[in-house]
Amino acid sequence: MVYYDPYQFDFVLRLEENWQIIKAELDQLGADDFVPYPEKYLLQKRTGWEIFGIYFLGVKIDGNCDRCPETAKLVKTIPGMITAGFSRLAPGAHIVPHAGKPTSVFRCHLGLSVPEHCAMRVAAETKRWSNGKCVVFDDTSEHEAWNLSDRYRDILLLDFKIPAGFARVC
Amino acid sequence: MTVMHDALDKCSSDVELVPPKVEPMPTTWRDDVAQGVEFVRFVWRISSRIRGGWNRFRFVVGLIFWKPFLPDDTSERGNADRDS
Repeated sequence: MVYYDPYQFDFVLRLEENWQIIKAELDQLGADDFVPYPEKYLLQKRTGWEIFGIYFLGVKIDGNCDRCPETAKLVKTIPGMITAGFSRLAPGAHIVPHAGKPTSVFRCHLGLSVPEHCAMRVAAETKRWSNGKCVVFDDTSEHEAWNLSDRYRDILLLDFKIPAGFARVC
Repeated sequence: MTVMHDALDKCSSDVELVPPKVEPMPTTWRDDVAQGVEFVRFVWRISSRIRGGWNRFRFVVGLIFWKPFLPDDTSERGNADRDS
């Protein structure tokens, strides 16, 4: 299994209930607030993936939290949250198949601005994001994502520690 | 909750959403240099938005080892608590 029922995790409902607040904070950001993701070899055209970090590997990105205070408050309440931020995929961008490093975390995506013609494949299953809905998956499985639309695809990306007693399915 | 709600629409059968073909991407030494420069720019731009030398240090070390530095396994909320 590579996708998990998101509602096993208590924070998911809270995020979904507040997704429009999060989206409003995303919408007031400018293009310069986003930083190109440095691992260019993950991108088919070596461009098109940008992030706005809120927490990165447990470190608070203070300036960005100031810009998105409600989002920062929400993600800080997530048990085991170590990384959170907005992930932006440009029109035509394709993150090629790759697998995350085994860091005992699950990844959650909350759809915020999801145009048509963009999707994600994890292992053998391809799915589309939906605005205001979360998906949880194991990013150590091979995955890729693409945006074949003419608009940006924005999500809130989270990594959280696998809860104690929760068995990762290999 | 036992009901499996899929946040994403399954679209395995949607031909339009078959993953784009991955073209070979030969890497040159220029690409390697550019990659290194990108990492430096990334670290610089993110670090400039972090207050406090200790947290900047944690960010850089965490990026190198790709794990929180230092992890606080006793806290349910993990390292997010360590920022304040």
